[in-house]
Amino acid sequence: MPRTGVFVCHCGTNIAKVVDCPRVAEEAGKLPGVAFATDYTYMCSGPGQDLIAQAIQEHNLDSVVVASCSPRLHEPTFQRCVEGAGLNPYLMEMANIREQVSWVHEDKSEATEKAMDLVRSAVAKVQRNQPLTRKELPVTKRAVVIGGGIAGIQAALDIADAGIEVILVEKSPSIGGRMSQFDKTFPTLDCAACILTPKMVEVASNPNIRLLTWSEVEKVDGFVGNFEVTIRKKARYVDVDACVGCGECWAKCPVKTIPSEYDAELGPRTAIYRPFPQAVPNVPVIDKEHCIYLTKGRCGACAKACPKQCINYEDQDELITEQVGALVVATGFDVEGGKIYGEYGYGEHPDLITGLQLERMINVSGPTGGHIVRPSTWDAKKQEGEEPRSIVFIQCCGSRDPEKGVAYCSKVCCMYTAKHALLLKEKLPNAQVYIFYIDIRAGGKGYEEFIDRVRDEFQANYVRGRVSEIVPEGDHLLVRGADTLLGRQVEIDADLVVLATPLLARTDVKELARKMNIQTDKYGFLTEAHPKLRPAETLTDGIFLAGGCIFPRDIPESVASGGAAAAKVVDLLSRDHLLSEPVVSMIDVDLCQGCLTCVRVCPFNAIEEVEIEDPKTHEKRKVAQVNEGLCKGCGTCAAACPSGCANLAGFTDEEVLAELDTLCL
Amino acid sequence: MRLLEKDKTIESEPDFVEHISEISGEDVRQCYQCGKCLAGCPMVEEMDLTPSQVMRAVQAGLKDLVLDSHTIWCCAGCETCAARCPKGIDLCHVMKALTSEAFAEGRTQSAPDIAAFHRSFLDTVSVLGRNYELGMMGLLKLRTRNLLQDVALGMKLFARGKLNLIPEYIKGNAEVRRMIRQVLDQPRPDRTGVSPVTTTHEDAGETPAPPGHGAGEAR
Amino acid sequence: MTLAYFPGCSAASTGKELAESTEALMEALDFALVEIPDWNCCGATSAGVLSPRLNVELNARNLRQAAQLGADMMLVPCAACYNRLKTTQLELKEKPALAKELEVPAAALQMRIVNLPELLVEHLDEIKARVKVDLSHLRPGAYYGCLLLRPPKAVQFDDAEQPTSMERILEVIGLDPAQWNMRTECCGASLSSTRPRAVEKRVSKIVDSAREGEANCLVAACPLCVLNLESRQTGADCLPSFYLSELVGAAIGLEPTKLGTQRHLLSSTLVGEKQH
Repeated sequence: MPRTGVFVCHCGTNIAKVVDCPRVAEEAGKLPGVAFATDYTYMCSGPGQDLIAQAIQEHNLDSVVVASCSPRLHEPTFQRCVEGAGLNPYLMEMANIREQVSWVHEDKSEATEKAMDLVRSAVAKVQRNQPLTRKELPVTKRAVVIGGGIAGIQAALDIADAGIEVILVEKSPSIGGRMSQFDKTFPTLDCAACILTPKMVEVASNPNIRLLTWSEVEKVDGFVGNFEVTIRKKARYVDVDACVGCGECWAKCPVKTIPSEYDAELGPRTAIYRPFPQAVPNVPVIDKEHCIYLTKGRCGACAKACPKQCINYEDQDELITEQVGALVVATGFDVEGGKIYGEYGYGEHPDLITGLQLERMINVSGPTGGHIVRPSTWDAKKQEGEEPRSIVFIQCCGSRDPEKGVAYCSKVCCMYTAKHALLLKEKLPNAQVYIFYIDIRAGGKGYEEFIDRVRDEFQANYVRGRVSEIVPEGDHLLVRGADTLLGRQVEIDADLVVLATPLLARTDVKELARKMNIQTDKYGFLTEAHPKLRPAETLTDGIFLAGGCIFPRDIPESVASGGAAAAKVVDLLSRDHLLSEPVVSMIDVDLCQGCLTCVRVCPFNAIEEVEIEDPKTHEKRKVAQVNEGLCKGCGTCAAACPSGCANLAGFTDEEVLAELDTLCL
Repeated sequence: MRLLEKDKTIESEPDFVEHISEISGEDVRQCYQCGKCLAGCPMVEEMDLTPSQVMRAVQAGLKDLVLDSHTIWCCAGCETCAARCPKGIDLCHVMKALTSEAFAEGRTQSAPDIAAFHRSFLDTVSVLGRNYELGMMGLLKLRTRNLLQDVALGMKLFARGKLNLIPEYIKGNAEVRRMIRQVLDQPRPDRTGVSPVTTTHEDAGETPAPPGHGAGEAR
Repeated sequence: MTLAYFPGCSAASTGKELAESTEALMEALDFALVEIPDWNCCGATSAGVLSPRLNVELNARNLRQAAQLGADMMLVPCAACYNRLKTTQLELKEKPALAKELEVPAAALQMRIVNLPELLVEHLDEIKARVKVDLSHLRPGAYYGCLLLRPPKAVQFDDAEQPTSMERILEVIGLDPAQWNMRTECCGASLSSTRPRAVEKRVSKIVDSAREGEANCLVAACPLCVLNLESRQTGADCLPSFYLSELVGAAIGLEPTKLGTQRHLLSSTLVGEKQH
């Protein structure tokens, strides 16, 4: 006869206000094989767990049912609790009487009945459960970080500092990411380059970091502790080791008018280019779409100019594979280019720019050398243009707009716009600055005070309302908007209009997520394992997230999340071995017919075809075999197997049917 | 909630937002007061409440404030706000839901001439199945007693063969009449507003009453 | 090609020249127009203002009548009628129960409803092949107004903020349309008789904007806009307004009188000026 203990949790009033918990416990005590049953206010609390552990000892329990919340929340808690008291953790079952009962029902007596049904069902199952044991898995003590922005840099440095080898993979020619495009940072007005470049240099010089720029992750195989990552090193056409970044090549390049990605297309670059002066590595790359030699087979100006013979037009993409134990994804975000509102006419008026373009314009290494000008008047040869006297900023140009843009708030725009207003007023004290806003979101350390300063000390004119349209009138732009606090329409003659465009999920991240078997949300941002409690992890063990690939983030948050992901990696890779999750598929090879239906339906590619030899007849035949490291225990194979030979440990047919029988018979 | 006005107090009616959302087919609760509708509205100078204030008043259940407002009748129906609303709300649908409510309750004092225009238009269509400018303008002039407005324009149109003396009838006009009479002849509380077509002499005067006066007080 | 044709009430009165020019142009371009039997008024703005439901009922009847013709496409030259028919069609598509209640057959919901620029911009080659008359002394400002374009979800014609259809058609007939700002602004037509002063202000803003873009006339596709632009312009030096169908018709050699051009309230001499 089994000796099962049943523990009914009140969850404060969460459960108890709808379910008669003492009665559920009382009825459970009458079930066959139940040796002990009780209820308690907070079963997950210290005293609650002590109560379970004590009961296991005192009543010599061999299995436990906790009737409380969803196992997603506290299964690990109670597994640890019973394990501490000497029971196998898989001899504990949870009956979810909160999410499935008290939170969704109102009628107290019916809810109590349902809770008793669920408890009875869990008791039937747990009495048939078999103890399961976790297996040891080896760990490769290396990591890959994907993305060399500030979050990825921080993650790579922290992992490397813990003595673990890191491969940092960056898609563009240099690390530095978005932050390298910024002039100053809010609210401290630190020079972005001054605080970023030392970290970039540290990455390059850290012996534990191997930097692969102009490279992309092609494929990720394997499982936690044992990944195999295939990386494509794109043809750079420049020898990274020999090049000293002297600049002779790009000085001689005849293609000079390609819109620079780094300058947000506000300025030009050459076909062989170094994105910015502080680039790491300080080595150019040839843009093969625009290079005359690579497209037409003539030119060769850069090769002739190079004093070190670094140019190699025959360079090819190269695929390399690396064995690692963990990955950090820190691929960042995209910035929308201003085209969401046709009524603003971005692209038709040069004096209508995005916030990122203004950021480049403010920067001394930017396309205007730090001069604030109306782009329509800029003379690149003379390096001069007309200074704007009236500047209009428009917030939420696609953020908070489920209709044409994105429903979410992009989070950083209120602050960077205030920063821009301040920097503009510093450079052009006589200019009038207007900021159209819906709400000012300044929830951060020193943020609200910063807004106050911009409004009071720097006299930015905040106008609460949206802009309907922007039309050219004479040589300026007429901004037609509303001041909702006045309840009136307003017009502003502007020399320069700056749009705060939304931060978007990168379009290419979905493909990467698919390769890694991690999830994206409806916007394409990567999804955390738990938005509150596991913000640096994914649902795939061993793959972690950092920075703006999760959601729009500012610099401190990106750095913190890079550090958090690194801490998770270091924790994982500091172990000698990992324990596998025992809830995995088991295929009975004696019964397996080798139809391989399971191989086809497995969403994790965890089942493969193998050939076995019958020990008696020595006949060879093909059967399916589970890779326990990859198996997530989803049970798809068990459901699909026509011969019933695939079973999920902890959810065998016998166990599940016993559970159902109590409800249906 | 209670709105404290200079000369009266307006009680909010919590079901109003639901009701208007249902008739208009637009989720008024979604409005977050960004002001884009106000920013682009071509008729805002004629309005007492801004379009965004109308949305807020509906959300707040301030039925009396919004149904007696001039704004709802001044909407030109140009859909600029609808095309640009970040929440995809078609404000013109909301405005029409509000005017139809005001009309059904007989509270058209805030813009009696505009209500009379729409009524005259539909009266004509109810008889013929189509619009007939001459008949419609005649009715309107009787209703508003504004006999001289646009007479010169009418003469010009006539001279260019654009005003017919004999109206066109359609065969299905009985069906059309039924549809329209259902709206025009619906029982309404007896207010000082628009009266049935047979008693045009009682219809609204030529100058709109200032906002806040009229229906709210007439009760 | 046969098109179901909804002339709209203004075809018999204030918008006579729109109907005349549309019919003449369609004939010249080898389209057969079949008038929808016993169509009724679309309700314009008034039906919807007094009862949104009435607006749907009136146009449901029109859709039922149109379905009798079995045509795949319906041409509605009046922007207001076009807008009411199209928004009603969308509403009924979204609410099958209402369509059933109002007995609107599926064929009427499938039928493509087009306005004139929408139709012409799909036949630029045919127009180009027929162009005979040089109208290049005209520099029209294409005026879309509101009802052709909005609400974009329902009408689904061109880009609601930066439309190009009319300009493309005008270019094909050898004109250089003006670049100007207020092409999609509302002229206030629905309040023209009740708030004439406000509408005059509106119209003068539109006309000034067109002048700033160096237009010497306006071209529209809506009888309410044209009547409003003509009757609510103040001052001595008025900018004439034409229908797109008149200009295209004139360019392919149709007689201005056949196009009804003499019926305009303002100057009608610009079209065909060079011929005489």
